[in-house]
Amino acid sequence: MDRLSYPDVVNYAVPFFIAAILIEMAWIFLRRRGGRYESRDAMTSLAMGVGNVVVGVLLGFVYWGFLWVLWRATPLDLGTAWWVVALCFVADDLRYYVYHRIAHRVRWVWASHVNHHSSQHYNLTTALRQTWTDLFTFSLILRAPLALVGFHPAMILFVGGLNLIYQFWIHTEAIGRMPRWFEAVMNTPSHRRVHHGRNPRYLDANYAGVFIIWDRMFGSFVPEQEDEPVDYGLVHNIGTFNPLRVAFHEWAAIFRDWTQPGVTWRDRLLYAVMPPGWRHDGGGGSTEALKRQFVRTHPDAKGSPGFDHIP
Amino acid sequence: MPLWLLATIVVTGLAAIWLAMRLFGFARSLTLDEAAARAEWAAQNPFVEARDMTLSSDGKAALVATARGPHLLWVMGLDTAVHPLAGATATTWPDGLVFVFNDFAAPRVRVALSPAEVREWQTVIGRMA
Repeated sequence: MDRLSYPDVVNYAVPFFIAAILIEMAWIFLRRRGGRYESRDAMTSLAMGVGNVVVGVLLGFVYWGFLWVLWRATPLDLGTAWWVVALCFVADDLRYYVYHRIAHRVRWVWASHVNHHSSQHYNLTTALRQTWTDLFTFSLILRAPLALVGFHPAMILFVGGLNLIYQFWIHTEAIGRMPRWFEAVMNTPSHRRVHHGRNPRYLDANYAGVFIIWDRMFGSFVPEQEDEPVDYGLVHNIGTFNPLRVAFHEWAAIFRDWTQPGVTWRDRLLYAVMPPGWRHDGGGGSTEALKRQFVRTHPDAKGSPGFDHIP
Repeated sequence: MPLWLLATIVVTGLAAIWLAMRLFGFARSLTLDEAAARAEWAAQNPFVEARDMTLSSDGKAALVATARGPHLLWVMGLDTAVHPLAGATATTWPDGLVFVFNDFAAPRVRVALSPAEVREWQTVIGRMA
């Protein structure tokens, strides 16, 4: 049991990722619809993906070691039956939902996750625009309960890889809607497009990894609107294709906020833990403020999806 | 999977994708006229109205006057980015102006301008400031 191992599914999926990107590009070229590609944006996304794999190879032992220590410490062992793997997959997907929601609401974690949203395009390369700095967010701690209840560390990392692979194919505009039953339960291209939107209606919605039911259960689900195309990117889009700047720009912004004159230690803490946009002088923005401002200028939107909690 | 095999697949795959993008014409970038520049501004800043706009002759950048001060809008591939000019420096280079922002996410932008345009932009920037 100690020597349990699973295939490194993400590495094995790399040829599939490349083939799917080439097919999507050919589809868009031939059909003149289904998305957009721009070479520098796409190569930046791919460079972020390569960097993420390199960081995983270099620092993967930290993830493994952390889970291993916890699993050895707990008296619980759920074994390796197929249903345990399935249960671990579902539990890990809930873990992903929690992580993802925190990643959008706590700036320290957003600093790592923001690069995934920094493209103004939405295609399969966007899926690979992954973080290099996840370890610094300490979000690994969210996997601790899985090890403590008795899931083997190898199983936890294996299902995490499957989760990541599932999320690849939903980063596309080439697929419209899936069958209704599928849209109801699973995360789909339509649901994930909403998540990547910078439209006020779509901000901070649809955090799910594989099962969209988490968003439906916890009140963060917003359906894609036929009459409101998704505008992809960040509220304040970045002005660089340099992968180093893409990877570290929000960390640099936190450092700049920490070192500005007149901030207290409490302000510095809040700059790290408050939602993106928060400022100590009250001059910042927020998702809620943007939604309120939109409803003020578009009163008909009040109460509609994405604005149902705006007074 | 051995690392050497993974690295080979990645390098070959990236080269194939890059080549395909060239063949499919995905290396083209946006060129703005005033209407397109205003639309891009409105998309980037839906709550701030663009008053005056001075477009570069190559359609790759624009100075935008707003109630929140002057901004630079420039082409990023098929999209645009926007940055306020407050705190920025604009210096000449042989083919136009270089804007340097104190921002890690948008460090500098080179705008190609004719000598006459450089003088016009410097005047407009001075007037907007």
